[in-house]
This record gives sequence, C-alpha cells and structure tokens, in this order.
Amino acid sequence: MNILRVSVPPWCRLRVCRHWTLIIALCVVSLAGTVHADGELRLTDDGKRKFSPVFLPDGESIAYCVHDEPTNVVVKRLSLEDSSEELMFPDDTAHQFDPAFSPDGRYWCYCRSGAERQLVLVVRDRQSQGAEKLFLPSGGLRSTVRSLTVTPDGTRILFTISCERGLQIASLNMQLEDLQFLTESEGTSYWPSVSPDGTQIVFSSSRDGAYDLYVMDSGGGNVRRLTNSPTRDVRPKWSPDGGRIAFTSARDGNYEIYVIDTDGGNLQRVTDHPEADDFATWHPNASSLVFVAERDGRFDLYRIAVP
Amino acid sequence: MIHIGNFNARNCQGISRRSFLQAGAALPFAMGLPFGAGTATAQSEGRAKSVLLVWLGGGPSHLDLFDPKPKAPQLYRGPFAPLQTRTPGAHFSELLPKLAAGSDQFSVIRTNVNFDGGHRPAGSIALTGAVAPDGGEDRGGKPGQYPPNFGSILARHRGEGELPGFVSLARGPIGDGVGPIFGYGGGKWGKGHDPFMLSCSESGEVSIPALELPEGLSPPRLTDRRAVLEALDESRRTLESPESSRWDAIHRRAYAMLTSSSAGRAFDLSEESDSTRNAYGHTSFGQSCLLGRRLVEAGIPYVQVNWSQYVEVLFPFSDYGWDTHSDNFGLLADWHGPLLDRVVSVLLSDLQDRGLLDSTLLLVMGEFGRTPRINSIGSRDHWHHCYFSLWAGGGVQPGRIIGESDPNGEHPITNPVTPAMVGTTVLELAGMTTADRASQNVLEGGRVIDELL
Repeated sequence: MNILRVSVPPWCRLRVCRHWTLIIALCVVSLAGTVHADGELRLTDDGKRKFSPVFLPDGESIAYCVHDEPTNVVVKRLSLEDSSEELMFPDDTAHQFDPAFSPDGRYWCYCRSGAERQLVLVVRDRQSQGAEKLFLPSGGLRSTVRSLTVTPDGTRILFTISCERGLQIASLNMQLEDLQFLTESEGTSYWPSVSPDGTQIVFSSSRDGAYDLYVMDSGGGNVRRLTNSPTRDVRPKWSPDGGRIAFTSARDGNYEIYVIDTDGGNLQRVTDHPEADDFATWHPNASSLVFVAERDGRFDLYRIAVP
Repeated sequence: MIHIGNFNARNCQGISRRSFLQAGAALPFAMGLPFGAGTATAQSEGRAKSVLLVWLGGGPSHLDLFDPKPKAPQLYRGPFAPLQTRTPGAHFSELLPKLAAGSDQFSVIRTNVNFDGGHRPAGSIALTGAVAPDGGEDRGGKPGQYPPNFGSILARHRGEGELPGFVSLARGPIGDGVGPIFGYGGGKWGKGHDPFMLSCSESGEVSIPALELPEGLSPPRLTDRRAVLEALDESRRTLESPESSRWDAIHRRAYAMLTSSSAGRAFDLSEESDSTRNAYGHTSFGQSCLLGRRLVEAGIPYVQVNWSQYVEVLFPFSDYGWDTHSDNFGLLADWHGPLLDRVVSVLLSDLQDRGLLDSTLLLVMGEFGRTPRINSIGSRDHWHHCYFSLWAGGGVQPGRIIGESDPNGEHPITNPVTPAMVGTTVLELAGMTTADRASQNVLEGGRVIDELL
C-alpha cells in the first residue's frame, strides 16, 4: 500500500513552522488513522464493506454501516478521538442501514431489514430511554425506506420510499406521522439532503435519463437540474456552511467524490483513485469530507480536506 | 489457512490429522465428491480442460447489467445509462465499466430462457438442463429425483483422480430461505456425485462447511455428548446405504488430498501474492473467484463459485444475493454491480495472463433475470423469459453478442437459449460428445450453441 506516514493533509495544517506541522501530523496518525500520500487519512482498517457514514451531531464520532458478517449489516459508531468502535444498536439483530440523527441528538434513526420483510424506518427517542417508533411503508412485503436525513430544525425526517410511482422522496414528522411526498416524478428520486437553512433539498433523480442532481424547495416545488452528466451523479450532501454540495459521480470512469457550488458551478474533483470513492459526508466544520474508499480491494473510511 | 469444519487443519505448525479424523468420523455426508483431477484421465478433455461457473443466485437484472434498454419507457429502462463496450454496437449498463472495456475477452448471450419462475426449481433447471420429473422443489419434488448437475456429469466422465472432479464454493448448500436447490449436485445419481463444498471467507480462509456441526447444535449444547452423538447418527442414516462405501472412500480421498502437500496447496490462498489477492478484492466473492482460479489451475474439471449461499439480498436468511425485489436500483449501484464488474474482469485478466483462458470455460449466469417492467415498489421481480449469460475461453469465440431481446427486454426475438443448450455446450466444450452424454443418459437431444463457437 502506498502510505506516507509523515505527510500532512491540508485540513490539519497550522500556519506555523514545519516542525509543528510534522508533530501534529504524527499525532493525528497515531490517534486516528494513517495519512496517505494523497492527503487521505484512513480512519478504519478492517477492510470490511462499509457505506452510509454520517457524523453524529457532536462532530466527534461517525456512524456507518458495515457488513460485519456475511449475513449481517450493522451500524457502528467510530470515535475520532481514540478510534474506538461500538455497535450503535446492539439490541437489534436485523440488518441496519442508513443512520441519521436529529441535530440535538435526541432522535437516532435507521432503516431495518428483518422479520418484517420490509425495509422499515426506525426512530429511537433518546429522551425516552430509546423508545422506538416504526414506520412501515404502505407497499407491504418488500417495500422500502432508505437514505434518511433529518431537517436542520429537527422536526422532520426525509427519506426515499417505494410506492406505486417507483422510488420517491417523502418526509414524516419525528413522531412518524404526517407523510408528505416531496417528489412525484417519473424515474427514481433518491438520496435527499437538506440545506442548512432548511429551505432547499438536493437529491438525485433519473427523471431525465441517468441519475443527475436536482434541487427543489423544501415543500417539493421549484425543481431545478443541477448537473447533466452522461453517467450517474448520486448521493449528494449539502455542506454545513451551505455553500457547496458533495456527491459521487462516475463521470470520469469510476466512482469519485466531487463538490459543486449550489448553483451548479465550480465543479471540483476531490478524489482521484482507480478504485471506488463513494458515500461522502461532510464534517460539521465543512472543511473536510469522510467517505468510503476502496483501496487494494478493502473498504475503509477515509477523511480528506476539501479545497 | 484451511479449516476443516470447526477444526483447524492447516496452520503454521502443519496439519492436524487428529482434528480431521475426528470430524471425518463424526459427520457422514460431508462431501460426496467424485474425484477427477490430478491424474491422467482416460477421457478427452476437449477445448475446456476445466469449467469455471460463476453462479449469480437470485436472478440478476439483465436490463440493469448486460442488456440495457435506454429507449424503453421509464417504467422499464431503470436509472442506469448505457455504456459503449469494446464490442462494436454493443452497450452494457454503466454499472459495468471494466467489463465493457474488456468485452473483447468474452461473449454475452442475451436470450437465455428458463422454464420456471421460482428460485429453486429454476436454479435446478439452469444447473442440470432439465425439468425434474416430479415437478421440482416447489411442487413436492424430492432431491433424489433430479437429474445430475453439469458438474457431476463432467466429473463422472473424467473419472477419478487425486483432486475432486466437482467443487462448489459457498458457505453452505446454495438455495433460498426455504431450502437448497435440489439440482446442486448428483441428484438421482446419489450424494456420491455431489460437489465437494468449500467455503472461502473475505480473508481467504477456506473451510468445509459440511463438516461443521449440524445446524441446531450451538456451542453450549456440545457439552451434551449424547445429544451430539444422536444428531450425528441421524445424519449418518440420511445417507442411502449403497452410497455408504463410496462415501467412505471419498472421505479417505479427501483426507489424502488435504494432507498432500501438492494437492492441498490448491486450496491455500496464502500462496498468492498480495497484489493478486488485492486485485480480486477482499470480499468472500472475490477471494472465492481467486480460489476458483487456483482450483482450475490445479486441474479440477468443474468449479462452481457461488456469489452467495442464499438468493435473498435483504431480510432473514440473506447474504446479499441477487434477489432484488426491493431496492434493486440502490443495491445494484452500491454493491452488486461494482463487485461483479471488478471481480469478473480481474478473473478474466488473470486467466488470460496465466495462459489458462484457452483451456478454461468461464460461464457467468444466474437462474433467471428480473422483470423488465418495474414493480409497484420501484424494483424488479423474477423474470425467466429472457436473461443473460457471459461466456469466455474454452473454445468460445470472444467479442460476440448473441441473441436479441425485444425493445423492452421481455422476450427473445431471436432463437432462445435453453438450459439444456447451455449444459450441452458446456459439456461439449469440455470434451463430452453426443455419444458420451447418451451413455450417461443426460442432456439427450441437447443442441450446442453454435453462435458461441
């Protein structure tokens, strides 16, 4: 593996002398991962298949899904401080997907694939000893809810839901009531992400062919196309400072992470590797991204600065 | 490292004879394996010295992989863009960029058909080329009524050798949450013609699942010796008596094979370079394909690498098979498409680089495809009326797209390719003539897929 143990990713540089930079870099390496020559910091090292990482509201830990066993997908929590890991829902033996959290940390949400034979939405209220509410999509057997995100004001949860019109984006309040469909288009609409002021939603849709990015108002109106790529642009994530959107695109041959301004301009490629880079999520300070990178056939979480 | 059942059989200190003998004596139907490789065989090998079947259990979507329909209505075409391949005029889905770039190494059939829409009966038909006379798994059929698997046929034809003639790589008997596919092995020929089953983990550890303790015997219960012995005795009774002596012989041969330094090396992935193991990727499927290549290299006539043990992708009993009734488009983009693209393209290149592709027939297929019309929950269901298979090496002409489906991918508009034609072509390329097949009473009347040759 191509590892340079003393180089420093831009996001952790201080404007001090080179010695301090080196010391800080070594500390980062020892505490939280391995810095690669291309500025990527590896955060995990088990190589297992991972997806859907997301920062917890405190910004000090990351929840992510991992194929822990051949027949089991779980959500784990990784501490950025000491690299320790723990199961987030150890009492649940079903597959767990796509965690999301309310900004105040009260609601922990995920999708469950188990005995119900549906992908159901689970919301746990941390203020009520983890009391659990379930939402089962109306399509019955094998119907699905995926790709969760909670609005910045913590009042609603958005998701992709299967319905007669295919896969659409909808929302519920945190009591899992008041279902509202935000898209009703042809094709598939997936991966909603809300702007920090709560007024807009970015998502991917195949309504015009392959997946591209679109933006709509929070109520579902005023849909605008943001990208127009011959191959798929997927998994957009609005930056916490509101200025940019990170997403995955196969436009250059394989999955890489890109960022784009919210008006569709200033496209920048963040990763560049012959293996896949995917599932980007913003650090709360909006200066770096955590993503799942495939390196030498292994899947791990990495962190990289965003220029 | 090789594990036999729950017992560590090969480690840094060598091989634990005692552990194997314990396991072997305790468990009866561990592996009915015809041994066919490693010694000079009496029968012709044909163009394909070995057959490597990559089995995509669950039904991979043909429209979202090898037969995209970008001009079909939205309700059919799905969200993936078509990608130009190296084969002039042919497009694959954008989920397969590496295979598209290497399409001159293989040919694709787009008009496979099956005769049943259920996983297990369709799987049996696809793996044996014949419909079970008693109706199959979903209609009260019995495993012993099934015709033999292509691998069992070829292993029997090739005769006995140091290595097994038919190896299947999976965590356990392949099937769905209801039970195994009856056509996975010897069928009416008996368990003595079943494949030698091996499991390969994401870290490359190889084990023999059938020698693990029977299901239901959890570790705490192992302290109840009487219960264990009763369970083992019951298992032994399930083996029909005429097969017992053959099974014992097979068992002894398996032991000899695994303790032989030359033969046992075929099962040891630690002999591969890091770069090779990394290229295949550290998933169970990736390392299993690498193991499959090693077994082919060692001369095993028929190797079946299974994508998963169960067809199900989600819900109980699932290990990410291809049965994407739910979230087909999310799952294929996240996992199935990229993994298939990576591993099969590496496998093709590896076989080519080692000079094995000419003498190895690589076949990639499942039991059927998925509904071209998107279902009421935004996904795709079973579709056995039209699906794909990928063929390479062993006498197959590469770079061809064979067969054409209708504009929505629902039915063939050129000659359909039946499972019997698949089996006949596999066996013909592996050196079994019409007369050879007739002598075994298998696939009689089958036609070779001439367009592949």
